[in-house]
Amino acid sequence: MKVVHFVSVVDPRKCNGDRLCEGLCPAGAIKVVEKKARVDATRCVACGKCADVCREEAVTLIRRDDPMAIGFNVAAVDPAKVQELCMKASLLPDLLVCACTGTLAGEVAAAVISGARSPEDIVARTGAGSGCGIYCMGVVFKLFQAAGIRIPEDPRWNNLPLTAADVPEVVSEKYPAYYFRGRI
Amino acid sequence: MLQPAVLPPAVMPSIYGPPPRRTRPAHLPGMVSVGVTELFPEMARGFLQGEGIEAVRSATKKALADVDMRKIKPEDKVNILCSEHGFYILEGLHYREMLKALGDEVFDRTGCRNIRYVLASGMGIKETDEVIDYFDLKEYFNFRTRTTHPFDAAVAIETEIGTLYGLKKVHGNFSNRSANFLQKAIFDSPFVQEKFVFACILRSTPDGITGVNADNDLYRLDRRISKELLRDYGKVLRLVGEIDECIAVWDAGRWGYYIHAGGIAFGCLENGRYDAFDLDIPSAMGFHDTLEKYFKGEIKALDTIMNINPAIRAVVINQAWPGLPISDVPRHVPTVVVGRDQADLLNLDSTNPDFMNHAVISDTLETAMEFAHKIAGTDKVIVFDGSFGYFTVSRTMADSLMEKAGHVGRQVEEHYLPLWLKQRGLNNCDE
Repeated sequence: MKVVHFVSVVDPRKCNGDRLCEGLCPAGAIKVVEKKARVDATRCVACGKCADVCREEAVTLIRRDDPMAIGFNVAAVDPAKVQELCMKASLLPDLLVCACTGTLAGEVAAAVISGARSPEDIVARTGAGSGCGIYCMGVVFKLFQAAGIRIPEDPRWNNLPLTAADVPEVVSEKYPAYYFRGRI
Repeated sequence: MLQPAVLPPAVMPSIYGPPPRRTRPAHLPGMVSVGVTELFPEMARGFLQGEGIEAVRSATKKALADVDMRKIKPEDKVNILCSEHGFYILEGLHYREMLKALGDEVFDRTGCRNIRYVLASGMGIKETDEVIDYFDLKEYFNFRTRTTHPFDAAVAIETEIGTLYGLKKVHGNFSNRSANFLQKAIFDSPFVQEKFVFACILRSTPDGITGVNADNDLYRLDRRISKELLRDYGKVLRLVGEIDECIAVWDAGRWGYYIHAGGIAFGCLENGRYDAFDLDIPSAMGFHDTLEKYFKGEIKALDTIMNINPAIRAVVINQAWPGLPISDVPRHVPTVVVGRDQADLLNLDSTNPDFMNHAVISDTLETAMEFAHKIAGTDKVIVFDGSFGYFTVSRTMADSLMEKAGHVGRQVEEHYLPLWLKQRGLNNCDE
């Protein structure tokens, strides 16, 4: 569960429409229309990447009047199905996927089972990807892949589903010092 | 011998942190410095801030003398891939000097003028522009500078474990989803091997900068330095792991997890109860055999590693950058943030959305420390202020470290180091 206290706002006088913010937004909350960026406040997760990338300092984060909760009721999803999907993806359900929001692999799996069909859906439903965005999306794509859901190519995440479990046995045997076959 | 606290390296002003603080923990009454080589006299002395810049320049030239640069033709384009961490070792000037000497040497020996320094940031997109301005790199380097960040466009690289991605601008420095083997796989790929010429690194121990190493063979370079790195950093790591109780203070630019004390980062204390160099420590891997055992309740995952060191009784944040997930600290340890400006930055931090729900604010460092003392019930203080060569500590912590260092040093030499080397296949390596 993440509570979003801020929202990005764009100063149209400063915005030059270069789309840098649109190309980074993990929530798909920014669209450039008529050369001006517009933020959908209902989707903005206040990750701040838009403000960081903007060279014109056209984006600022302001406090929301009403904080927005990002959450997902995992209990509403059949645990056996979550387990099945995690097994298929070779992931522990309580593997921490997103250190920023504390989202677990099982939560992402539950979100996929209950209808998430894009990375933006995962961001909106679980919070994964709404922080640093660096470590989480590989696992998200792994679960999409295991569920047979194909995500269109997108430069924001490169759609890489590779995890340590995918390393071929011949490679893991070749490099024992990397401990691919680690123990619990 | 204990001495009044040595002033730590200066903090680079940054939009990612609060304005550099005038009052630093080293200024507080009762704080002292204990030298790394006082704790471990056998460790090689290093250069600290303000020392040895010329020596780094000559060491770079010397290290490059045996490097083969014939792959570089005058008409080529050369990228010198800079480490973001280098600029935060001490005050960054040793690393800057090594890079300058490296570019000059490449030009002198190959005639190639099209040399570019590529600076990569770890998180903040404007970090590299700040580094270029602060260190005056456009003027200093004579060659062009280029910046990249983890969210820049990627390039697909075929490796022995499948398709991976590197940053398009630098052709495979690091990707934004990497782990140790991914970097190795990328490095070994024909894509990178076609372009790679040599590596040049600034050598350090916890005591400071000790020299420069370079080689065309990255693996040979790795083997050459690993033993010393494991021995020297291992001793300080294990010593910090022996701390029984403390108040930890963050006081530098960059993220708290990465701020140094005695040449090692706060993260080493945070996870200090576990031997990070021991490759046999249980790790969680999602393989079917372990998964099945996990689902049957036969094994438990990750209940022994990455828990916050219980020796940390309180954390005081005088200055640090937000932007790296570290909310576990205030969730589990009483945390005092100095100043509303630092708290505002943490409030805005999407990587730690609930950090300030669990921390309190104090107006000054002095009041924050006073509060932390009361909560923690200890007067042992260790300050992560970017220092190499010294620990900025309270007198009681200094005494405790001095008392334990001899035993820890022997343990590392006799037990840990042989184990670490064996696990890496380096026990019979004389390179």
